[in-house]
Amino acid sequence: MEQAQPIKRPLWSTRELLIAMVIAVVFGIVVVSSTYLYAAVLGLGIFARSAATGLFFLPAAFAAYVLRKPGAVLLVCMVSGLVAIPFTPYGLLVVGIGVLTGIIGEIATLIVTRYRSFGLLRLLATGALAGLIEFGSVLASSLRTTPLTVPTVLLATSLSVGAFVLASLVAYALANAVQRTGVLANTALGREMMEAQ
Amino acid sequence: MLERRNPLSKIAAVVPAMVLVALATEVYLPLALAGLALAILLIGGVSLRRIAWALLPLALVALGFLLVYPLLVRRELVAHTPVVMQWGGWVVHEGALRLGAIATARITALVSLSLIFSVTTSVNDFLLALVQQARVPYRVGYAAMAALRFAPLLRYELEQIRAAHRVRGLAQRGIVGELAHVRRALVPLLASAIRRAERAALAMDGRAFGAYPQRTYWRRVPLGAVDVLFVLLLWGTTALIVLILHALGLLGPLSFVQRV
Repeated sequence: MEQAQPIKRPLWSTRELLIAMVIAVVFGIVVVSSTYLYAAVLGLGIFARSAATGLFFLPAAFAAYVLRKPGAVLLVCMVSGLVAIPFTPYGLLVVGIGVLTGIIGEIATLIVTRYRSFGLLRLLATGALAGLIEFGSVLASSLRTTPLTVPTVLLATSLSVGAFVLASLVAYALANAVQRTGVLANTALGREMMEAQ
Repeated sequence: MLERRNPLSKIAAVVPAMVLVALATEVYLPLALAGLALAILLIGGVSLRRIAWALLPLALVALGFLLVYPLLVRRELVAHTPVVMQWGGWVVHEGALRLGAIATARITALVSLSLIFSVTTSVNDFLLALVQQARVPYRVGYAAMAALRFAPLLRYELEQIRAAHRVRGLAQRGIVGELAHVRRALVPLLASAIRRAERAALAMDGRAFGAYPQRTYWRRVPLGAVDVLFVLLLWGTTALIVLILHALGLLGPLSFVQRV
């Protein structure tokens, strides 16, 4: 092999990559049961689905808040889908849901935070925006059978947005709790906390 | 046979069929494509037992669909069809039963088709194919593979944390107890997983992981002529099924909007 070139510092350090991946794996393991939940509620129509999709956003919000890097949301969503493949009745479809949620979450994170400021309010706003966009996809797939009256759509929208905001809030609390254990000292969140002290 | 196909070719092979299933408005197309998927699995050397185990959870979901769907369907869509059952305030129209059957057939077909990939592919092979053929940066692919190695360890750790909580008298039964357990376990589990990740990252960096723009592979996941043939064969069969159903008049319109 040729002589190693002095390469530029990569956008993602190995540490950050691996931290993102294990976050995905942990939530993949814990949230696996939620894909069964998703399967169970699929039949219950638009309301249950709006509420259940929020669960898929939990690892993404956690990773975005801890790592604050472009691509964190998409990466984590995709990998937690991969982890879940062997454990769900849905197989490949779980990765599809992961990719969709990842792209939506990434766009929302880009718009709201610009990967710079990650206060609680901005995090919640990211969740709300992602929930709103995601609801569009749920709506598109429910067109056949759901009564699309104004109150239904309003209620389902607020459920979806609420679920995503709740996921962001849980991720925020969880990340701060993990931060207090000291293991996140080498991440963007840990450095910010260090500077704040 | 299926195990040796390139993972990406398996995805490419089933995607058109999945799109067709998503657009189907009659039961026949999804059922035919589900049948095709099962035939491919059997021909591909997957044992009947394995398929049955993979489909068992689906059977429960499908049953739930079949029972719940007719009750929740949009009333005005099916109001003009004859009433089949009436029980108190619940009225079940014939159209609602049909919609339930279609939804069940579609979910069955989607899951059966995705089995072609998920039953016969290891996640590692899939990641290797993503790196070797789809040009995903190898640092990302290998980091994912390293982290996936932690999955069994972390599951074991989750059990340990549960045991530790039980020793301290924190065990509860039922769904509420289960949720409380997950809530309590998440922070220690995440902390230990992140600690592991950092150690692995340091070890990888210490071995100059990512020093070169290219890397060598111990294992290659080739994309050969047989894979291309496999994709073309599946596309062809899918198209044939559509044509036959169309000729028989069983295809129904392909659309996102369901009419009864």
